Amino acid sequence: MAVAFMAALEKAPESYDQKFDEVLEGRSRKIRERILELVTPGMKVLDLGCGPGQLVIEASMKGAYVIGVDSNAQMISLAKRRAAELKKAPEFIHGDILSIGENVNPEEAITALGKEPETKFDLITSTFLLSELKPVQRDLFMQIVRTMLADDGIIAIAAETLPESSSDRKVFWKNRGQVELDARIRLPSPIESLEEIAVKTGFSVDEFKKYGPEITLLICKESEKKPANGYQNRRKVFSGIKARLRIWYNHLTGSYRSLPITTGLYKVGNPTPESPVIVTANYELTYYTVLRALARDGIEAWVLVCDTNGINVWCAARGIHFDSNDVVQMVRLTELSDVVNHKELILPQLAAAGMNPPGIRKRTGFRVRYGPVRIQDLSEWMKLDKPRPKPRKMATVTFSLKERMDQTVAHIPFLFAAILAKPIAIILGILALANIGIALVFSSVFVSLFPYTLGFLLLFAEFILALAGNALVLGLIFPILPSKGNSFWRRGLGLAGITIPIAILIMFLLTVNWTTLIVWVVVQFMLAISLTMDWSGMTSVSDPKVIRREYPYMIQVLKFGTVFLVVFSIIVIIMGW
Amino acid sequence: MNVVTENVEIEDSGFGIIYDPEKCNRCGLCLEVCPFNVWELPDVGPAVIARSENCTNCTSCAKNCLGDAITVNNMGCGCIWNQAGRQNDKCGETTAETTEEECCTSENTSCCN
Repeated sequence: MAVAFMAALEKAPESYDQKFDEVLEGRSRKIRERILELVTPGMKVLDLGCGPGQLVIEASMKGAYVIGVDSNAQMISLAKRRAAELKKAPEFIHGDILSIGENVNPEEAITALGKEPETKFDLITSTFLLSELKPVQRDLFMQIVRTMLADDGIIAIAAETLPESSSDRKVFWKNRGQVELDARIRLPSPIESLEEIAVKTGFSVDEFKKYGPEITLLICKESEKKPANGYQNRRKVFSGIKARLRIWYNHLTGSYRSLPITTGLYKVGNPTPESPVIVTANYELTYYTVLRALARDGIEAWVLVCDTNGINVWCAARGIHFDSNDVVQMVRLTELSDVVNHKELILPQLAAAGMNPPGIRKRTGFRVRYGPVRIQDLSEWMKLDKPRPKPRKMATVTFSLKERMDQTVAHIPFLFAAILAKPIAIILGILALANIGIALVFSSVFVSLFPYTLGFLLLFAEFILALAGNALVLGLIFPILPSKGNSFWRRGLGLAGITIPIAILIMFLLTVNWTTLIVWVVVQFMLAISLTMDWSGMTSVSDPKVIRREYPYMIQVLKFGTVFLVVFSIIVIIMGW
Repeated sequence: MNVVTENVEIEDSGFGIIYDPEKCNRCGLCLEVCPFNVWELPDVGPAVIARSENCTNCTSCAKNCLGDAITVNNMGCGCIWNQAGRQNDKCGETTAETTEEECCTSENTSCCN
């Protein structure tokens, strides 16, 4: 539970060890002692994620030749200072552990660690690092460890793992939630089984020990037979009725729910080592779109699905979810250079906002080419005699009527599920309870709130209709709305200018009274503005500069609209209009 | 050095393409990656910003430029919930304690998950 505090503790290297041991109630010391029992004089030891170097120093004092690696520069400089007086000084290296063994690395020393045969280690340790990594990074970490382990070498890995009993799990999740809230971070999903990670990455477990419900120490050696690389042979059916249903499910819920698929190397048809490698994101809908388009055009290819947290290519690349690291890590995890005999990756053009192609080439040896914006153009693009410069129509984003209608279909459930469902459920719940209460107290249905409940349901239905109507009109006319300076506020005003007269016309036909008319015009205006602003997440043309400036406008509209509605309702009730 | 600054309002938001044509080595990657057709590569001379009004500050050209001629301030995607999160975070107002890196890449300011 306490491991998650590391982020905060790491900011103060001086007190890190002491505080860390305090929150773990001495367990980190016990683990260190157990690991030190494995150390013998003359042994070559590597500590990955060494922090301020306590384990490194103690192992060094036992006569071992020790190297500590950490990505935190402050930790490394503190460790160096602490170890300065030792007779047999250990070595400390500042660098990214996950880039050990890459073709070329800014940190030359680390590269050497992974490549030189003489720097194999008899003991590789890592305490409380693995749980801080994303699941794919954990596998990569173990892969790297395996390449650096001497023939009879052992590894000792301690990590935070999901407790077994349900009461411990409850405490675990509660603490985690608190840390996420306090530190404003999202922690990677917890390790369910440390043994499973070790076994699938080619280790056999010698010792498995729990230090409290949520800390596991694993001592392993390399298993005799290297297991098949699971990342190399991923399968997921992309045609047929089930896939179609999943696609619709994605359309309806993908805009507010993360729908990731397993990362790794997938196949379209029967690709050979010469076949192209298409790189993409691990959003389920993206997967279906890419594989179905390739299959339709008869392209046999490898599809490298990277870890983008289940987000589509464009959003992930513009955010922080899809960058060179994700590509490099997946190339390494799948051991791609053993699968194909060429050195070329085809990346989606829309991933470019997160990529550094020379860096990918340096780190993996693979050259990057940007394909077209739409996967449907890929077969035509591959046939081009002169692929650069790409024909403009392949390189430019469109927002066709069909694409806009897809977004409308996705937008309505998003607004409903992500924003409206809770308040509506609360109001209905209160009304239902009030109904039951009145029925019990007065034993009479005549004084019940039933008409009000019905009225609310009717109002709610009207609201949903208005919302869907606005979303539909927005999707239909988006390109012709006023958009000077790519403004979403102007587009919203334009939409209001069209939907408010329609609403007035409908209410005129329904012959509602003037108070209702005023209320609905205000609601309509609020809807048009907020829907259009929210549409910024549905189109690729939105610009953070514009949205950032215009977001407060939307807030003001919603604020003043709500205040007006409340005041107006009170006046109407008091005056009895 | 001749720095051409396009896409106004740099002063209040720090956005816009900052382009130094002298560094352009005509690799053409800006054209290759821009999804909005902002760039143009004439037969001779450096690439030019032909349609700056189309730019959405996506940073693709800046990240891929082989000559390091382009800079675009990265403020993530244009999704409103992301920008709302950033405003609450006081992003852009970098102080000694909160670096741009910290506040603008913190994952929970993103709507996308």
